[in-house]
Amino acid sequence: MTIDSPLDPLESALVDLASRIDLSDVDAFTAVTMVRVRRGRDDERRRRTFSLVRGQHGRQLLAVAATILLIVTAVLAIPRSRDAVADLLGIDGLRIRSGEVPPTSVPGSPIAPSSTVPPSTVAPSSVPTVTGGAVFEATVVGRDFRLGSEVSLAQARTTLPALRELTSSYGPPDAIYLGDRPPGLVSFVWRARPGLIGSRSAPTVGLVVQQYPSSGDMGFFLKTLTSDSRAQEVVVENGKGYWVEGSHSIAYVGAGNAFIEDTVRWASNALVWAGNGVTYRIESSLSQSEAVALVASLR
Amino acid sequence: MSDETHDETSLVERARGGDADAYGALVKRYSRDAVRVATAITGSVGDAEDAAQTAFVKAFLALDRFRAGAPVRPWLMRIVANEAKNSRRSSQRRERLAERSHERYCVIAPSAEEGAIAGVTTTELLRAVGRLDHRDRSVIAFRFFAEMSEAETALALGCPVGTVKSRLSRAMARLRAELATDLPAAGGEG
Repeated sequence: MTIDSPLDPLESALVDLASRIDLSDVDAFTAVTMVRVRRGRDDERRRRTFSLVRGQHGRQLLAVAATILLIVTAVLAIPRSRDAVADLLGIDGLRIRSGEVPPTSVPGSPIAPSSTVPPSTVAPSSVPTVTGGAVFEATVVGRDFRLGSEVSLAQARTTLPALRELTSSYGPPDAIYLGDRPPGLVSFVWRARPGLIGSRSAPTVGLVVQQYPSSGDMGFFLKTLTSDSRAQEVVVENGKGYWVEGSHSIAYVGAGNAFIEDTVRWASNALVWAGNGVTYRIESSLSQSEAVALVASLR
Repeated sequence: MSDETHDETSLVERARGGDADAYGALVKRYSRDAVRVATAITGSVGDAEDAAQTAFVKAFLALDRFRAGAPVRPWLMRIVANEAKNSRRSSQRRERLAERSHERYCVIAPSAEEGAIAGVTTTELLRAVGRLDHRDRSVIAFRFFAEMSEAETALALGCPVGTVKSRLSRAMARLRAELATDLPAAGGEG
């Protein structure tokens, strides 16, 4: 009871009335409710899948042709048990595990934002645009996804000389960020649009391509899988990588495991790989073959 | 952070990751509060049960928007109250069924004697609450039906704690007026 002061008769009558309202079987009520919850979740997934298929219809044929780049060497179903002790997989600069989402150093805020920044590869832009009712603001995306500061392509290249550009049909990124966790983290972000659908956790972000140096002890990204996601070991550009499907969280673990940055949830798919001292990460709602097609367009 | 808060945070994080069992634990923990709040809003245990379940579904689908580390109960109860309001509105549009064919779990225990106010039965009191507007019903539901603190109520209503006090005071005055209309002898305490 959290009502501190003495109750007057009417207040007492209300508390008494409330105490008479009860559930005859809490477990049964919970079970029935959870049936509805699962049904609602499945309906929502079907709705999203349907809209994804509609949006990507035209690009699927093209994507299929690109699948030869990526050879699946092993399929690893990550244990589903929520109590599983972390099974760390990974590549330079990125680890993958199942289990609990890592603790956060500061209570994080859920990702809300929405979508669009005018195309800009030369100069940062903070002018928001509206697409389909959702607003993409580069500064908000940078903040919420902890991507760092918005920069020009030239500025990003100064920090990461090995930076590669995407030469896909999506055009130049809508925003470029330079972050310091890990140092030298460059993120290309494309707003959500037809063919690049935002995820539930990031409805206005259609595609994120990240590159960062991963040699030495510079810390690493920790990707935590959920019960409905899985990781598949793959070979990308002759190097080891992983295809991660389903929602997951990303946290940054500092050098020497010194600290854990707040986690950021993603409800999208990811392709990660490393090569020549650089780790690459593609986050999107794209399929595996479409993500592979993007890799082929890196120059 | 208390153990209970930590436990809740953990359950929410797991539920966010798609762990239905974790969410089920939250449903079980707050199911009574939910049906009580929903009953106060809808005035019907049948509608309240549906509204509470629907609210739990909506809350699950909205977990991404829940602020990490925030108290769960005010957030859930706010969703329950909104859903109960919607349910009440649709209930008023349709022909209400006197008997429902499927099993119900939400019940009101019969009162063997009159409540704290002479001449006012639990049914009459519930009806009087039901005649208040949604703002009044909500604050009464959160404070007395879910027994939420003023701070929690403020979170659920999205207003300062001081506003909770004044809003509750006005709601109670209107409730007394409603009871006085029905039963002039009742609610005389002031």
